[in-house]
Amino acid sequence: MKGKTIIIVQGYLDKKWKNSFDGMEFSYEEENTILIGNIKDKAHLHGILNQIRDLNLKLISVNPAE
Amino acid sequence: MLITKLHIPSHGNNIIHRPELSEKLNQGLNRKLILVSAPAGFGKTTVVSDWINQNKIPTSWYSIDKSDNDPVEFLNYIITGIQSIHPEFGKRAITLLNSPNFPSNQSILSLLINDLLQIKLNFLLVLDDFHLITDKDILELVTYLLEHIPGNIHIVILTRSDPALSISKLRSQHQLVEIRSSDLSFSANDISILFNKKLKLKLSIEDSYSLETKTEGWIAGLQLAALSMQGKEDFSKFIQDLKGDNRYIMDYLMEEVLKNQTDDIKEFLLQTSILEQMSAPLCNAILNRNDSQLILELLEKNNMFVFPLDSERNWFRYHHLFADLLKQRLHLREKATVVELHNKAIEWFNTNSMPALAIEHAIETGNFEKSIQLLGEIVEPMWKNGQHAAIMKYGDLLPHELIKKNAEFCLYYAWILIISGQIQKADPFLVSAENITMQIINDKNSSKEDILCNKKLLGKIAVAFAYLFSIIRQSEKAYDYSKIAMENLSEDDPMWFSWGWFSIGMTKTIFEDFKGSIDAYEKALEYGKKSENIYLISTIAINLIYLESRMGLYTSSYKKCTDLLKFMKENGYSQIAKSESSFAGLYSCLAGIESMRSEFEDALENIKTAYGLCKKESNNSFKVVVLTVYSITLYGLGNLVDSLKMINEAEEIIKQNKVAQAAVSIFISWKGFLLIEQNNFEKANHFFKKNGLEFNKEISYIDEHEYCAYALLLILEMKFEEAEILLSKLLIMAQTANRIERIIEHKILFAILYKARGNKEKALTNLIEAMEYAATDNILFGFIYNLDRISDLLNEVYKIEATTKTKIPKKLIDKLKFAIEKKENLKKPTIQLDLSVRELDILKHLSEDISNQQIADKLFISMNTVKTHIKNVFLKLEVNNRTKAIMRAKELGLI
Repeated sequence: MKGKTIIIVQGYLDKKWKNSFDGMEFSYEEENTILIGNIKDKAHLHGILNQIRDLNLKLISVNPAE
Repeated sequence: MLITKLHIPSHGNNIIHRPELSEKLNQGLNRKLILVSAPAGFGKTTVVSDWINQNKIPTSWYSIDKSDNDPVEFLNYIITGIQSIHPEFGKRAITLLNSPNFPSNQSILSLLINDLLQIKLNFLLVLDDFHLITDKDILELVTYLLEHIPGNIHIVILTRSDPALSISKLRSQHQLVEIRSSDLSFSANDISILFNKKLKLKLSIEDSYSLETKTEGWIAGLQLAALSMQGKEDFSKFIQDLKGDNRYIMDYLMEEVLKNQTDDIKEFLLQTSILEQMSAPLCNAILNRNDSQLILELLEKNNMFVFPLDSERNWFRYHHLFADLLKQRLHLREKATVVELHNKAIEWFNTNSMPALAIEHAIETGNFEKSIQLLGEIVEPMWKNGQHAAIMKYGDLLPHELIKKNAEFCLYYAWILIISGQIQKADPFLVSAENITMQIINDKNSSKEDILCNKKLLGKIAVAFAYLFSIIRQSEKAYDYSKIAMENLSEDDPMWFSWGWFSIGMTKTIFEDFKGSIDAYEKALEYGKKSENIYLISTIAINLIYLESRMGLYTSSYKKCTDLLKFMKENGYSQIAKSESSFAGLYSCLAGIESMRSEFEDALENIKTAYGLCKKESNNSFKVVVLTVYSITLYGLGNLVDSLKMINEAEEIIKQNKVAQAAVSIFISWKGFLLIEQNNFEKANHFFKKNGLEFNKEISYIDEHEYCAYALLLILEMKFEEAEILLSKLLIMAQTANRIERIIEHKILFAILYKARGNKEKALTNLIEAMEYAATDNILFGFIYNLDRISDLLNEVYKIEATTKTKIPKKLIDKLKFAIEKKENLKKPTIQLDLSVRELDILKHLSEDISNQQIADKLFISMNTVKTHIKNVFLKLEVNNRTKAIMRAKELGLI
């Protein structure tokens, strides 16, 4: 996956975490946190997904932005 | 190596034993793998280490960190870990691993598995935080280990995500026990026990259920909640607030926990969070204080997610998740303050001789200048200890312009690039390294010491250059650099001196100065032995063996083969010789020479080993040589069918790949000979023509081999003039190069030629000369393979030998007679068959797959006669049906 990507995790994740999610913008919708950003390559995406895993956040979806 | 990583983690007093999990883990004692897969903070490490402690199971524990993504580092830890159980384990593998050149991981592993079989004890090999492994080679290694591990050893993998190993296969073989987050998470009941019994915090049943819902039994969350609750009056209110808050639970709890701490402790926690591992002196240095030991122990006592890494409590670390939460808060501060902390860590690690950790901190803050400077100081020992993957990783990570300012790092990075095939990438680094050292050497202001030091470095750089240029066959440059190397290197450093000689050997080979090359390799071997580097020694020896046999120095080559194998055996590395593909060359050499001496049984054994080894090899030229030698050996043993199979396999490789001319030449020579032996002159002629052979063409040393077989064909086709011109040319070439085995072969061909022309006297002279030459190395193959053509001449020679004196030693005659007898024995069944002409006709028709009636019609005989003939044929061939008869007839060369 490459290009603009939307990642949704459950719950409210404070914007203070931005520096741990390289290049992603934070926004919120209902109960969820929405991370939007340009994914450089596969390794970049996996880095972000690993960070989500390491914090034991609940991943809801990963989608390319149209 | 950080021994703390091999320490079985201990845990606080508040551990809750979990019998249902212990039970499940116990099942793992009959399986290959226990997989504990769950996110951070689910208590994986605690559950497993508690189970081990309770049951006192012998264990080798390895806490992996992300810098362990180097197969050599990884194996070093594994071996050292297992040595705590069985001190003799893996000693040889460690010596091999920690050298600048080492055999394949596969070979090392087979050595290790052999060692594992010696350990009769049941024990566990625990790999904690396995998700940090991303290196493909390590994953392959572990897969291989799982496939071959003896039954008394069980691997336990603790990971945050399922590893890329063949888990499903193990599951279907019932070789797997799995523990996942649903097994690990705390129920309301567990929560109640933890809070009420262990932590003495009074929690109602409802609150336990609320916590279970909110945390989903996540232990890290529960522990942080417990910490937050300390000093609070109303737990229920706290839990209700927690439940009602939508924030990331750890953010919420962390705020509460930090609120409970004094400012002093809070600062300690935040500032030390940059450390992967911490000791009191390190913390003191970073925080400018002197009571860190007390604080660390206090934190441990208060369950502040701090764990000791050794039993002396010298080193500690935070729970990874806790550290992440702290770090995230720290990074909200000024960048400069964080960088300052890292800089202090760099300094401390560097002055305390832990440069690898200093480098990690330098890289983390993007201080690449410092990283390179530190790396330059340790890159040589890293290279010597075989940490190639780590050097490669740093080289790829750091800006190349900066690397080019550090000659030491350039050299070793380039070296590793070269051996991994990235020649073009390596070249500019070597150029920079050369420029830097030359500048210092030529600078009048440089100290004597500096100049000396840089001259040595230049010598090493020149070896790398020579190596690089000999790979891309730029012989002039390779030669120049190998000279520079020898001018600057000395015997004081036997390993590099050996490499220097090795580079000379390589360049001389390109120049076809084989004699000079052999001398250089001999020198390289002498110093290589002083360096005690097994891999260097075997690499040089194999090159030497190959060259000597190419030169026809068979006795010497053969002796070197057996010497090397003996040396490997005496040092306990037999396993390596049998599994390392570079040794295929050695075994194929042995087989080739044994075939020449007509010792086909021994040859078969060795060529089988070579064949097995070269399957893994990507070098197609080499495969062709091995297959051809295999075919020669099988033919010598009378197995024509398989011999043809091998040569056909070689032909397929040549058709589909680019193969070195020298290998192709050996193939053409043998394939042509086989066609001649099957009396298929027309096909042989066509085959030679197709490959561009002509009797009056200019012949080079590379393709002269194939012309031997061609000369034989010319004689058999009665083209005597052409044969004579060709043979004279070949003989001169062989004599100039002093290639004994060729001289023998040509003399035999001359004998055949003169016999065909009716000049028996000259035929005998040539044959006697051939035998005289053959005596030194017992090279008999030319006589054996041409036996049908020269047996009458040989009998004459025996007679001459008996009456007059020749220079032929009696020993040779005996050996030759013995080999001939053996060959006759192989042939006997064919002779005894004694098929009539009619029966042979029948046999030929049988192979055309036509009915008995059709055969009868074709041969103008009755059906019954055909049947009688067939019955006789079956009897003589000892078969019971048509298919088998045809197969057997083909085997015997009857059709």
